[in-house]
Amino acid sequence: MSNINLYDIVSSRLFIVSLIIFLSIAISISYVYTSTDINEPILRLTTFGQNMSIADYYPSESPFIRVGEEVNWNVQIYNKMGKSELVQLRFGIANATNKQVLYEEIQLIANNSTYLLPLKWHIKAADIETRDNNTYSMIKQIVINNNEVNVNIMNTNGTDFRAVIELLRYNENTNKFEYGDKVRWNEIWFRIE
Amino acid sequence: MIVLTILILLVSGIILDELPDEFTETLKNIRNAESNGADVKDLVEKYNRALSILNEINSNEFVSCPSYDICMEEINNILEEINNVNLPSKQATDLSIFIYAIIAAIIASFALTLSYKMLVYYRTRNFMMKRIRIKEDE
Repeated sequence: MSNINLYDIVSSRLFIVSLIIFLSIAISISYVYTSTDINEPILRLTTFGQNMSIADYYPSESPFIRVGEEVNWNVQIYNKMGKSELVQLRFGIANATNKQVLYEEIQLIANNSTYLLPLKWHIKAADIETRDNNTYSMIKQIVINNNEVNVNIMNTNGTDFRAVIELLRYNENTNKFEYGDKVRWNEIWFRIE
Repeated sequence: MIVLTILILLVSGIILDELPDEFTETLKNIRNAESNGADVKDLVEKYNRALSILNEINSNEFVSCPSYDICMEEINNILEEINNVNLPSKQATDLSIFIYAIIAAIIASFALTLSYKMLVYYRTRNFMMKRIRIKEDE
């Protein structure tokens, strides 16, 4: 043992060769671990039906929603913009021309993260009215995530309403939530019974 | 200051379209830390907790805190906590990873060389001992 000293070890060919190999491996692994993604920035909005599927959006198989029937959707936002994004999610009901926002949620989403918002809603009150020989369906009240909201949206009877889910990004310069360069929204059509 | 801003926003009814200044400032701090490469997931979680309390104040449904004043204090504390955090930058973290990698490589090479030298030493010694024994037998 007395023959092995520190100088012998560090000056040996084995030490130098193994050091070169180990350094190459360690630096390569460190580089991969510390390098950042340079993919295209994405802020994705997806609306799923029940059970996180892209089906079962309606309580029954048809796109009819009866008063009192609960609708379960899941809204997912995936942020890969390269930075945290402060977003506002808006849920609204619309006819062909008008939209009323009923529910809003603000969330800061870290880069490369997903935020999931369950949306449970049902129509609490609706009516059919006749004006000038035309019959209209009217949604009067909606309960969404336990918040009761008065609605004032009407449509010609038999035509579709739209549930609109919009995603707005926070602009630090204007201190407002704004639609981005690419407008992100989902729309699901339904009729009331 | 936060109290005043939120009061104004509540009165004007635009709380969800615009954020109180303190939230904006804190968001800037989080993004600055992020642009330096820090991992801000914990800060994001805290920020969302503050937003959730702000939402409770706005909807007048106090769940996580019992009253307006306590909620405001809670928001204030959370935002202060976020602003006071000093996260290491990505450059500093990356540099330490590279330094650890180099140290690990040197230790591994040293251990390998030492093991090899010891193996050679013991095998040579055993060989020499055998030769001595053979000579003695003769």
